Amino acid sequence: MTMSPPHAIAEDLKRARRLEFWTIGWMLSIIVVMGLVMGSSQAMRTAWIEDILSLIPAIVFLVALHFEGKEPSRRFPYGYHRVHSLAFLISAVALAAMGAMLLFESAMTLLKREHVTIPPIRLFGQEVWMGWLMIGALLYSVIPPVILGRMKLPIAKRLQDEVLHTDAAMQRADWMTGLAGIAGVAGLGLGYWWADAVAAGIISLSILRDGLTALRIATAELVDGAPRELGSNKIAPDAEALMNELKRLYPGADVRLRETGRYIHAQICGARPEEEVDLQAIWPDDQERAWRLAQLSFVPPEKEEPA
Amino acid sequence: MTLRLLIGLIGALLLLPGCEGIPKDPDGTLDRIKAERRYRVGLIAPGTDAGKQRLFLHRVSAAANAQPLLEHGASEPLLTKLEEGKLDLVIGELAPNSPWAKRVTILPPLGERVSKEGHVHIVGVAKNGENGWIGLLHREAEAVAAQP
Repeated sequence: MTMSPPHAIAEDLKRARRLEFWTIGWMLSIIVVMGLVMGSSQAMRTAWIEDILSLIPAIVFLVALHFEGKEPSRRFPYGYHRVHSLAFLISAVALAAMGAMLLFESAMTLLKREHVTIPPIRLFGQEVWMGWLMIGALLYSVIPPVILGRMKLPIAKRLQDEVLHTDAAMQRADWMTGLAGIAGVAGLGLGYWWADAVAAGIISLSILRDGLTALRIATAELVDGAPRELGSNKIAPDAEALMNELKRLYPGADVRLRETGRYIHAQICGARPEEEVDLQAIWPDDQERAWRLAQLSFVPPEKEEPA
Repeated sequence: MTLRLLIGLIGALLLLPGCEGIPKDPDGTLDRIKAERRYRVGLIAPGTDAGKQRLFLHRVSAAANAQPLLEHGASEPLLTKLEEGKLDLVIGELAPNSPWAKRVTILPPLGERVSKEGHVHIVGVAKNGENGWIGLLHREAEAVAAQP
């Protein structure tokens, strides 16, 4: 069993890697611009911290990808496919934390009835309300995540990559909080002190839901649960089909599937293999995705104890 | 859908700066001052740099087209009244690291005095979030500070 990623997904992996570098670059520029105009506004500060949090999935994706291709060693005899599962857990925690933080922040603002001051500043000799600059910065912060998130989704599906999928969800969270921030600052401008907190509160629920779903899938993956569908806690249809096929090939045996990163490992308990097994031939689904089945292992039937 | 929403939003925002009176005050301070033609000021005793304070009040009165109703007192009760919306403006000495800095909005300093504890600013203070009124005060405070 070779550890380097299969040919079929090499191009997509390269594309995903490039996209993540672009993401880090754009997000850093957004962090700088937002930092310049955030002033004392709590809402802007929260948006800024979220922008920093949203770097996490992109960074852990690149780290996991770096390890995925490494050959097993004496110290890591199973190779590094699980690094991807770990990266997924970290991204899921980041996404859930972002949703929780946003919800807490907006609830506190509403409970304490905090009225946010946004003062004017002097810009090129002109008095300008800082709110306009904030809206400008937020607009800038909205555009790259919309584009990057949309580009990542189809690649994440082809690669069966939960980290990339969570990163796309993070990007969705980013542009949604950006829009909420714009609505909030514009609302403040119109004299509605609660506008910001209400907009952020509504959006935080959807981010928190995405984060918690990701967290459940990541946990399932780490405790050897059956392979899950991308972005949902249901069992993946291709894994279901593989399960049925293996049960047909090895009647009476116990068939177990688990997922390490994007790969499926199958175990047949209580049956012996034929001389050679062709993994690709076993894969019942789309042949282009036959790389998903990375390993098939057998546990021979145990000798029955005499009574 | 996302894209259309974005374009609509940008379009709406481009129209907004043309509107009069943005930012507005959540509690309507500036509208009330303009309607009643008076505003309530708390002066923290003892006042220093009375010239700058007088000039500031003079300029604010002209800009808002209203007369100040003065009240003297110690900083704590005056700032509490400001926070409750019973005063529109407080003027006095406040250390830049005062615990009040989060509860009220401190305007650009009119002047400063060096004391044993370091620099003490003479500042105007307004209620948090009254962004229209704060904008007016901000402009006038900067104009006063720029004078020799």
